Amino acid sequence: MSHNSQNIVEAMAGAKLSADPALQAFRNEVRQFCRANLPQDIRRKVILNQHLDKQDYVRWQKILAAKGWMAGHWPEQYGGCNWSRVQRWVFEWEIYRAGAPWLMPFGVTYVCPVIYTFGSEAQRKKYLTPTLNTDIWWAQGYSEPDAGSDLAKVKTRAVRAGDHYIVNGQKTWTTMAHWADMMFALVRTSTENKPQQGISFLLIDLHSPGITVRPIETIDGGHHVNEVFLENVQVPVENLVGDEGAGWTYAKFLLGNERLLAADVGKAIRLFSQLQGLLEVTHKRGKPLLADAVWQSRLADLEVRILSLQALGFELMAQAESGSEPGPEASVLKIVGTELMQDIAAHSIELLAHHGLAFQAEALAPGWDGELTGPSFAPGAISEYLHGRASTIYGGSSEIQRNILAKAVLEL
Amino acid sequence: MSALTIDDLRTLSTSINRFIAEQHNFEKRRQTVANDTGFDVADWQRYADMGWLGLAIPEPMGGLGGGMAALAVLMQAAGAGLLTSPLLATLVLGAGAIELAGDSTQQETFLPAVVAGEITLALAHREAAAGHDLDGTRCLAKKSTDGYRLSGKKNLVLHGATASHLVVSARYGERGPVNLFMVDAGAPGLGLNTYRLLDGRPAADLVLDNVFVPEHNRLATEDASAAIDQLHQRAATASCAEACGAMSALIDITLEYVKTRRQFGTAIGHFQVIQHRLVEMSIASQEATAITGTAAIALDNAWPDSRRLVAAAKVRTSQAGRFIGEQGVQLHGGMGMAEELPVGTYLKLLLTNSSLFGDADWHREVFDYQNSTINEEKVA
Repeated sequence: MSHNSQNIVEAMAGAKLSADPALQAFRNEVRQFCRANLPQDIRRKVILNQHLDKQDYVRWQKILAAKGWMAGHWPEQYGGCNWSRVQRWVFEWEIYRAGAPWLMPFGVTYVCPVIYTFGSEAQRKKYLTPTLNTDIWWAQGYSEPDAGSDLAKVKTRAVRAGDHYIVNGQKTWTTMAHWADMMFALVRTSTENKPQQGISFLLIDLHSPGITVRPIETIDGGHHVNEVFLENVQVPVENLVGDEGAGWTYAKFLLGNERLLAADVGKAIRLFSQLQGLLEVTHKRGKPLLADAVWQSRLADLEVRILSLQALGFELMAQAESGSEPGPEASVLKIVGTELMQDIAAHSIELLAHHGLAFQAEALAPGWDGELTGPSFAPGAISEYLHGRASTIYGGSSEIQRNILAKAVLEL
Repeated sequence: MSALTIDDLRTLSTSINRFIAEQHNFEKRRQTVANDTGFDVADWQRYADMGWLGLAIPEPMGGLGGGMAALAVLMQAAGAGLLTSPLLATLVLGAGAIELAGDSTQQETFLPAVVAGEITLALAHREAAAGHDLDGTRCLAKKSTDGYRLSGKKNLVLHGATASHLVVSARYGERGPVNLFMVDAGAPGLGLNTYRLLDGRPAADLVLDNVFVPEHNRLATEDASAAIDQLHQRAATASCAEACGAMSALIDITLEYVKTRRQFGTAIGHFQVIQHRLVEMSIASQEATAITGTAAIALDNAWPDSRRLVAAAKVRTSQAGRFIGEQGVQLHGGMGMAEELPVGTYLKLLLTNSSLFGDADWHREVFDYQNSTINEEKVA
């Protein structure tokens, strides 16, 4: 029997976990907290998919930090709450459903667990608490022009010279690097042996001389990602995390931590609710489209997918709770979650076609006070759709995820 | 509420699947489907001996009280093993009707006999004109001396011709309440037209012409419509579980095939287009299984959103079933068209199940968006 075989009992274990009273109480607590503490102006921007400025993110993240929830999944000794994976998942589900901004994962979710697991005591002291308080903003230096899905091909060189590494090369698609203070990067410290073995995990101060951050405008008209050029950048040796040459292992650890969270149910529910709102205000032959049989059927299909994703998420969470680490099986959540989100967004585009697809992208900028021609959601919905095309590309494209599943789960 | 824990269910699942793997194979299925009853009566007694027939029967009636959870485990295994016995007709529909609508005397009369394998049951509720709708009962019940007289027609009664007792729904007058009646096989005035569904399972249309039912065989509930609705949801979930077993098994044999079938000098499973197709099939099967298991738990625990979850299970499983069934045939190439392989039988089972107890479109209507609750976070 291959690993494909699905036992319905495991699905039922997930369903029971979803109804666990302690988890329900936690969910309600997060929901109440968001109602009371998520600033209305920030929420409105998020719901309308407008561009937030850095201060919006910082303000919200400091609210979470004050509650102790900025990194609830961390061990208590580092300022977390020891949340289980399912608690962390439900937390994100609720905050995104409520319309909270994207919780920047680069610091609290990506690099810090690598630091407290593999880093030095000095690194823990220097980075963990400031990251919790959003006093340090992180960027992820992984992709390069010739190393995308084939990440082991990173070429950015770090050469040891005394107590420094001299770093030369280029990173790209670097999210929010224009706001970041630090970048954790995969750099090549050796060209011998297998490509994976010569990679090291380096923390680079983005204010260092020799660094140039250049914006890449994306198809949604926004500025989220950048190119980062490194020219003879001096990085202190103490900024190496763990062992030289072990960077690939840490990168994979980080990926494993993240896979389970890829099922972004909260945002899917929010976008789905928004779609229903749009259908209510859009009329065809004098009736709201929400009453249209074709649209009702489309909505049902989307909600069925949301409910299925939730069920599958709880099933994998239940396995994680019981100690059996979900491995590559969790790639399914990324594929299903991102494709669902894209389809919900695409339905908004189909709906906006009734309004003629005017795209006033300028309306998304902070402080814009011009006049909109269509519904207030329209510019944000189009932008969300366009920006959302990236979700099946980053973090291992859907094609790569399918390769992983074919090999590791189906043993093909 | 299921009396069984998740660990109990795991053990149960292992034991049922092992028994089926040892005792059943596709050749045996082809033979049993071909005989008059459509199943092997000797199997039924073995299932009784294994304790399967009492899995969901309440404990006071000699069962295990495992609820929908236990039935889902059994049906998943039955789907994987392509079993032909009237498990769904007897355990989910017939015994379920008696449990939900019968009084304790009626339960004691019939349920221990189900556990022991002495009787099989069938539910005769559907009428052709009503289609999947549950409230279209036109079959009439009239009070007579010592009992009732039933007249009307019933459609698509699964395993109707072999059941020892039929549970028949009928209405008192054109607008009166619906009741359920236990009708003995061979009762005078009962006519059957038997046929097979797409996947070979036997069904029957009934004509009832003044069929007599004694007073004590009217199931006690004054209005059975809630019970019928609950039965329908259980049966929809059980048929999804059966489909999930079939999907998983079909993916397994397809994986086996693409790993051994060689063309162009290599196993065809090395081609990325084949790999990605199988990944899609596997994902669809996982989603369907996850939502079906959730629906089973929702029914056992009377969750407020159980109706939506059952509908979601039915829609997802129907979509996944057709996709996996068709692609199973496709990836087997010419062999997928051969009747001697189980591939086509899985496709037929999956299509049949997707049509039973409300098709996908019927269940999509459960999501009534004009009175929806999910959108509380909308921007005003």
